[in-house]
Amino acid sequence: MTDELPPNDPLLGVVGALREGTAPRHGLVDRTRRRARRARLRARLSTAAGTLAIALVAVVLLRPREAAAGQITFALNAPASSGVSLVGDFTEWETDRVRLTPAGGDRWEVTLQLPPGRYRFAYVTDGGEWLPDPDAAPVPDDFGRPTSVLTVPTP
Amino acid sequence: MTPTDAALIERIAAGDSAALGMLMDRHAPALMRYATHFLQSADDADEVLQDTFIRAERAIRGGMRPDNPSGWLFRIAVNRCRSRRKRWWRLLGGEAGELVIARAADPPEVEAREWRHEIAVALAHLSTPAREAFLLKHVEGLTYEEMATITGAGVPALKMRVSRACERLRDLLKDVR
Repeated sequence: MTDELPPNDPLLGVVGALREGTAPRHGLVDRTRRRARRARLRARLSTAAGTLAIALVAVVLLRPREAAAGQITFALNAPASSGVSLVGDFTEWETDRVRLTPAGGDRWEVTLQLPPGRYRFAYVTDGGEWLPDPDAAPVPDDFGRPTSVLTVPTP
Repeated sequence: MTPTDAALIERIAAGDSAALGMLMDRHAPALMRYATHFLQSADDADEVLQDTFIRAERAIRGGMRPDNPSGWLFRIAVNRCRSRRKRWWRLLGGEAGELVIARAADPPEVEAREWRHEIAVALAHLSTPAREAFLLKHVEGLTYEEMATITGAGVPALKMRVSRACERLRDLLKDVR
């Protein structure tokens, strides 16, 4: 089995046709910027509506635990970090939406109110390091980084 | 001097939106070609590209520094294409979905270019993994090692998918030209 098509292969004509005529549409950059702005606005409105209710603390990577129906506490032990953010499907993966708060020692924590569903999430230190939760189910994201999965059950 | 991808990524991380535009201008043509042929729709491909670069920008601002920016962008786009296709299948369902997709590949300009139309229909008959592998290998000219990084599949499996895709396409198109 060779890697390339042989010189007389009829598929060479197919490949040639496929390489033509699919240029990006005019204005792609502007449309992408507008769409990104709309996504950010939607996320902010969602936050303002109270979908996310932020609370408290933790250190050593601890498994997110259910405090009440839909209330999840995320906790992380980050000894050398000056700050930690929580990112996930519920933050549109933006790093400036949900900050963990110091909970004593090296521990950082935050509690969110999440609707029932399955969420991917990770912690991001202010040093830019992405950390999964070691006690939650791991799954790689689109970029190959390990993230964690959390399921909030229907009450 | 033309800035490298790595230099553009550092500028994007610092909030330079013009750098994102330059990165898009550089990589969008190949991503658009792949997404258009994989999804059989220029409209959907355009949305996949927007989504790809939005995610890339977020990741870069979150600290991501890919070793191979081109391969990394392809990986995002390939995943976005897969997700979009799964949504089609849920909406349309099974073989009926395949046929609708094939018919949807009839943009007006193709009426005058029957050959392109036949190719689109033939591609629509390939399985998703086979179409993905064929396009990445023979249209985008990637190595099997690059494809393995992008798709998560092993090199032997990819070689087999490409081989099977070629056989199928030759068979489907043998009476067309």
